[in-house]
Amino acid sequence: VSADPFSVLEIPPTLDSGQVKRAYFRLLAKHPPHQDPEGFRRLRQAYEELTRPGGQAVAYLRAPVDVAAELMAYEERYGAALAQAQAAWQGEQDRQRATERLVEAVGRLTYAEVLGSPLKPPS
Amino acid sequence: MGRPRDRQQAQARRAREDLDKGLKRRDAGLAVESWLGLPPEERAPFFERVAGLLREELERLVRDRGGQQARLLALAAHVAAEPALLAGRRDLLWVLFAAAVRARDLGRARRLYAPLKDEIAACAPALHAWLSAFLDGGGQITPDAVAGLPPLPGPDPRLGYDAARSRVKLPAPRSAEEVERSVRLLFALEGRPAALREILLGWIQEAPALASALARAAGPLSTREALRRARAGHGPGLMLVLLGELSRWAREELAADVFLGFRLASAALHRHAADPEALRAFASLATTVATYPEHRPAVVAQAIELPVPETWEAGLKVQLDLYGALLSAPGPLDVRLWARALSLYVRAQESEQEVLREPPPYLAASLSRLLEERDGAPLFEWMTQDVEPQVLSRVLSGIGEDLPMELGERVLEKGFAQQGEGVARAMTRLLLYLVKRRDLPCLTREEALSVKGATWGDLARLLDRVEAVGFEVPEDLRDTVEEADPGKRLPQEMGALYLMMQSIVRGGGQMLGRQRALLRRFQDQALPYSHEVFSLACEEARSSQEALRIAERHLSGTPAIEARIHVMQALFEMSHDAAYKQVKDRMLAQYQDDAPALARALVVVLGSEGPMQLRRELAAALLAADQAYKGERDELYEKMLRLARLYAPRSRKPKTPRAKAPAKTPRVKAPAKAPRVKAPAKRPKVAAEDKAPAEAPRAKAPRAKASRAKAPKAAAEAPRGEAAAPEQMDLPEVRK
Repeated sequence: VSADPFSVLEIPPTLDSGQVKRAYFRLLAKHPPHQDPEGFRRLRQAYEELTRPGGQAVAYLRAPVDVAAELMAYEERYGAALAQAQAAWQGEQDRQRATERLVEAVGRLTYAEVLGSPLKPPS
Repeated sequence: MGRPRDRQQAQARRAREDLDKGLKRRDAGLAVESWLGLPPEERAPFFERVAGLLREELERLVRDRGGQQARLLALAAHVAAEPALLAGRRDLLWVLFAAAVRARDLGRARRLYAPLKDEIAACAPALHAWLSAFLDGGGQITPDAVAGLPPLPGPDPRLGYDAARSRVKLPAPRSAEEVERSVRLLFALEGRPAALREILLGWIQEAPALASALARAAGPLSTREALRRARAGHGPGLMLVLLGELSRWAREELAADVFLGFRLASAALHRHAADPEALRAFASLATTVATYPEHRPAVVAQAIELPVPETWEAGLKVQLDLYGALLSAPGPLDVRLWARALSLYVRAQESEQEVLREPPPYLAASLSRLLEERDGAPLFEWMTQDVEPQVLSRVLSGIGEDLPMELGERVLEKGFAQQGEGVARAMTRLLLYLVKRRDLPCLTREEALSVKGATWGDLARLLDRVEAVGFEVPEDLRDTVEEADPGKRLPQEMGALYLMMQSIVRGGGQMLGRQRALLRRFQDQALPYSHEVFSLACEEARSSQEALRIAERHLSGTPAIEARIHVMQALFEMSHDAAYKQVKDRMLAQYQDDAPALARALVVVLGSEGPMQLRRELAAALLAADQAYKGERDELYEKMLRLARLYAPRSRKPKTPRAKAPAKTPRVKAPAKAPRVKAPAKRPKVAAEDKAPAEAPRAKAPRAKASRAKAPKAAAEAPRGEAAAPEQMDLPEVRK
């Protein structure tokens, strides 16, 4: 039996026992015992390992992590929101910087310079 | 001027006085402030002087261009209340307006801007637009608007402006509504895991009421960050540690993240076994995952398989803490986990010079629970399974030397009640640890009585002897003893120390009363499995008869002839002569026809300082048995035979009677001459105070308590049933 019975059942590691059962019966049709005894034996062993009490939990916690797939799922859930938050923060920062620049300008201009200011109106 | 009648009059009078003072001192601030404090109808006469003073002051400030922001702000406040003071001087009004803008004092800035508005709008419409947006927008302008501002020259340090801060400080959320935004912002902006964790935990500490909400929002983002770091090849450890910490506040909501994080931590730990951060992450998440009953066995199994860190800093502490958390959690107790934890503790104590003062309490509590479960059957089953010898040794020494004595006694009680030799052997080892431990602080009544009467002077002399045998006495103890009155009786609490020092001087072998009681209680069960238990029990035997019983019990478990020789030597050294003789006679009778066994016994006797008489008798028995022996004769056997001929007593040849007349009285036959061999080794010397007089007959010699320590090493350390090779013996006769 492979170190990871989930991979034998061709499913990602899961704690859902229904998913294990469905995968088993699906693969059973591909590896019937009279045609593929070796395939059936592997399948059966993986299934038994997962269906014995506590077996699925143990196998789940020991199963390797598909980092890329998991990360993709997390990115789908949180990536856009984080990008949005970042953009909002960036906008806020730009706004603050602009204000700082204006305040600085006001503080450094004399009234004579103000009246003769070459500044153009905002678009 | 009469006494003021009401408060307003008093204020007006004070304002007049201050105004007068301000004008005289040319203090514009005081003058303007007190002028504004006057009733409106009294202001007019002073207007010109006050306005002139104010203008002068402002001109000076503009000229100096120093860091006068506070002064300008104070004046701006007065002028905002009465702009007419600077009528016609818009340049000075602009200076005050700029000060109010810098201070974000928008209310005053608006009032000060009002007289300037039209002129600026006409001459500098862009600036007017920005300023209007700033004043109307609550002190902010849009980023689009700023695009039109020309680049400004670098700041003039004389103006006292602070440069813009490069580090962004995120505001802590103040309500549940702000939590999600703040947390997302934090994860979006802060890329350093340590800083991220510090900020988040700081927020939780600042607002414990928001802890759960913060944990729910930050948990999945921690997992995402850990995945990102894992994918980039960086350690995900710290983010997973954070996830484990957050799960304390939102266990159910973060379950999926915690399981995934645990798998990630487990994989990271397998890749980098020596990484303390990976271990911390694993421990942090394992504690949470183990709270789910269905996942607990998997976590425990993985925790048991963790590699042992080299040092305390490298993770021994983290691992011990994890075991502590798992063992303290409700639910069934895994004996392997407990054994692993105890073994790790003992190892830590060995390698880190007793880094912990006392064993963590969960070790004793868990052992107590294990003993309650089916009378400790799981524990004793584990001991007889395929356990690494090192681990079993550490566990037994941990129970015997570190955990409470009562607990060790309970283990012995239940262990010896179990069937099976494996458990009995383990219990025998445990018994030895218990009777040899030296950390018992409390004295029994018997021991207290033995100390009673000892003085500080006695202790001082004892310390001298302790130093003489090569131990170092702590300086503070020495000082305490020297400062005390030597004639004064030793207090009760010094009793344990006194006994310990005494035992060091005597070779460290003295047992306390409690340990003697323990030995007496369990020695019968342990005797068949250990020569050391036999030696201790034999030392404690009160009579030769008791010693014989102890010897018989010991030999019931180790029937080999070599064991008998060791037993006889011990009995001989401890002066249990009657017992010695009985064991010897039985042995010679039992093995009279077994020449190879007698040869083996002779090997043992010659390899140690046994009694000379025993050598002779064994040699004689071997020669006698050899006459009828028809079996195989190997080299060792032949060698022993040659030695036996040297040692065995020879019968004298009958002398030829002389021609002399026979004696009147019959002559008594002289005893056989001893063979010409090296003089037999003397009985081992004992400690000075216990030493028997050399001339005294053996039967009367007091029992030598310390004789065990002096026993020859070769004999004491030879494995049971194995004789020392004769080549290794110091036998000059053989070489001849």
